[in-house]
Amino acid sequence: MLSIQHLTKVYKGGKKAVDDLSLEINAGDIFGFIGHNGAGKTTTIKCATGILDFSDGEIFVDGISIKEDPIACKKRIAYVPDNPEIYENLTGIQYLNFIADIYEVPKEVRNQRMKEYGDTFELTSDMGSQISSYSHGMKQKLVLISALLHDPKLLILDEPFVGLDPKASFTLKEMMRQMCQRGCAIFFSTHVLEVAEKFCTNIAIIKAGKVIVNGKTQDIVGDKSLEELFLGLLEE
Amino acid sequence: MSMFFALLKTDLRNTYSLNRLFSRSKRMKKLSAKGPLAAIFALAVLAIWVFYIYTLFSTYVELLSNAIFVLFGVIAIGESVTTFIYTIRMAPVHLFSFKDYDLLMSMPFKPVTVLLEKVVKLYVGNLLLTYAVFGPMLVAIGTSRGDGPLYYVASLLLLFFVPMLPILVGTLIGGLFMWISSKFRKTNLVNMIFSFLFILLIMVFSMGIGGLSGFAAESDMEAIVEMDFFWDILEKYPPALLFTKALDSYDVLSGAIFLGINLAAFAIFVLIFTRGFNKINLALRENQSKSNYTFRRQEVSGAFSALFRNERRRYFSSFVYVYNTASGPIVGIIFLVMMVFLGNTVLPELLDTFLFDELKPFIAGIMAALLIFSLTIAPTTAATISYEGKAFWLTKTMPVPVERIYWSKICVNFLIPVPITVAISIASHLLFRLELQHTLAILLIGLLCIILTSFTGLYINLHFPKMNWSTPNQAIKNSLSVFVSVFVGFGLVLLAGLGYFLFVVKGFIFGLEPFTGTLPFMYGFALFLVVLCAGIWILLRTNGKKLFDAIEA
Repeated sequence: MLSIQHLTKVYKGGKKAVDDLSLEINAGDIFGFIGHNGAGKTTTIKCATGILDFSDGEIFVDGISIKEDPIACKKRIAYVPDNPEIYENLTGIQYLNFIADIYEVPKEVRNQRMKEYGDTFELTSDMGSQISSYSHGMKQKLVLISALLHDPKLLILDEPFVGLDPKASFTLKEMMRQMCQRGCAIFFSTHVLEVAEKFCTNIAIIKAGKVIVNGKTQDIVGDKSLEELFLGLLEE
Repeated sequence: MSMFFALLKTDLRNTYSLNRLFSRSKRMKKLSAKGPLAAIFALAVLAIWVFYIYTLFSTYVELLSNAIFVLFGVIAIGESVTTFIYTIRMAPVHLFSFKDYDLLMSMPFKPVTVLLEKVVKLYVGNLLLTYAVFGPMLVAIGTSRGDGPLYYVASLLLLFFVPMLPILVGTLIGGLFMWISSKFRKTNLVNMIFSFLFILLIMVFSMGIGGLSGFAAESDMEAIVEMDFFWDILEKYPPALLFTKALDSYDVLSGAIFLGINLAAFAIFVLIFTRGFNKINLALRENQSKSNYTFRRQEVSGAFSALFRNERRRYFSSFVYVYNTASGPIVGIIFLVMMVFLGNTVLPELLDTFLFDELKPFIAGIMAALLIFSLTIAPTTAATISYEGKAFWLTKTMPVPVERIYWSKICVNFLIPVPITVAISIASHLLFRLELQHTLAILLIGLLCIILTSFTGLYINLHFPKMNWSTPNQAIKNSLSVFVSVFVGFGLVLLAGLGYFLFVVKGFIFGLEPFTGTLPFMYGFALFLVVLCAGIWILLRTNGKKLFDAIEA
């Protein structure tokens, strides 16, 4: 579903944020992307979502090149940023309708999904309020709901559990599992190693822009804990 | 197109907080209970404004009844220049620093849709001003000439398109500046310098092209018309000429060409700029990042230096902050340029008049008044506390006396106005051959006004802090503190004018007379400013400190 091939991203000033990075995320995968701060996770994600241009390599979404047909790719993706910058002066429901309009979600479907996800994340009663009055967690929930509205084939999330209360975190994980069972692929970055270890089917660890470990979670972790493995790799 | 309209609707609703107009919140319900009254008040203000512009312009229509084309030309050129400068100022904010870039780029929008939406949004913002100012002027001409409904439809339609070219060209130039600036590490600073220099260049160029000196020397309106001064200027900007011809002589062909030029320019703009738009945005969003830093022995500096350096960096890193607070000093720079220009043309004749020696104190007074006007309206301190926003906890928890924090903020307000004040004082001294005591009075008043407004701005901001903002604009441009501070600046101008009128023109005390009394009044006013500064400083150290402590970080 998402194929990143030899991706290299150099920022002005010369820093190589991502260096010859390759990843394959298939339908049904829950792919955890792990790395310390500044390792290149967000840059990779932003390249994969078409927000950032990149110097070398290729990215394919569902077999389509993001460079050649970004619109077709973006129609298949939903992206949840780490710090949701959304229109503060809209109400929650207006924001959801805006997203649904852009992704051409039919009226009946959007109504049903907004209600369903709104109830699931316990946000329905606040949907009439201005987004500026929302807490960080509420904004995060709203962006998650908006990401699910068009039933994406590929869900890309940057630190999705930050700011969520325990119940919402649990709900999100459940939803992600259900989506994968329906054939969706999920690619997300996280610092919560415990979540990655227990929840992801695949993981990749990135250090200084390069992937140093990539594969099935069970194969990688083996007898150790992911935390031990991760810290050990960072020290090498 | 549906995606374009969905985005435009959402963006306008968000930018202009349109939800608040139709909100059903308790606060808004309370207000809407007073709805009819509020609506009548708003309509009354609008009607007064329209009537004011209409009446003012009607006078010019009467004066120039035989040469109405001049007025159409003034409308077209005036609107074009204002829009052009507005765009150079606003394009960086609306087209290259918009906050929803990541969101929009992750969605299935074509870059051209986003570009179109941002340009149309800029256009809509400008149109409000266009119709509020230039609409009544066109109506005034129509009623004076007794035109039929067709004139009003045509003129208001053509007016809609007048800002088109200036916005497109302004965006291209703004984009070029941003593109060049993005190559530098200090992107914002370089872009600001470009924009300021460009606006100055326009002013100097506009003075040079049409023989403004000739215009200034002519007082007879008929002579101005006869010398075809305006036709010359209009020919330099064909859209203004076409607009004028279309409405002055009901020339349908000119009107059609005018519309055609604008629409074609729009199409070409979209075609050529879409790629550039995306590239510039990407370049601007990539922070300069190097990974080759090797740790060096760090220098030690005092708490004040550290605070000041931090404040200075924060100030110059915000494009909007600098633009908003530097507009007054820009007027000062423009004035300085005009003085130099006058020095080559009108001034030599003036200096040779026998009365000039006696006029020197007046000139010093005028210079001081202009300094007060241009340098005191928007002090940086009026937003300095608010701008800290959610990071204010850091300042509050520092083991530093509050006075030192004050001074680090106050000194930032000196960075631009003080050199301009010194430059204007020296330029006045040299150009007008002023005595030392005149120049010193100008300098003293200028510097004291800067200190005073720095103090008042800070005190007002401590009173009305806006810490919980979502965009820096809310703190820098639209906060109550900034508004109040602007009024205080105007108040100072009024106070100086009123004082001069009472003590010198009317001679209420000391028997001062205009010829001999201006200079003593200036020194007296300077003393008054010293007292005010001392008073506000005491307030800052006492009540201000309590306000500082009470701000929730």
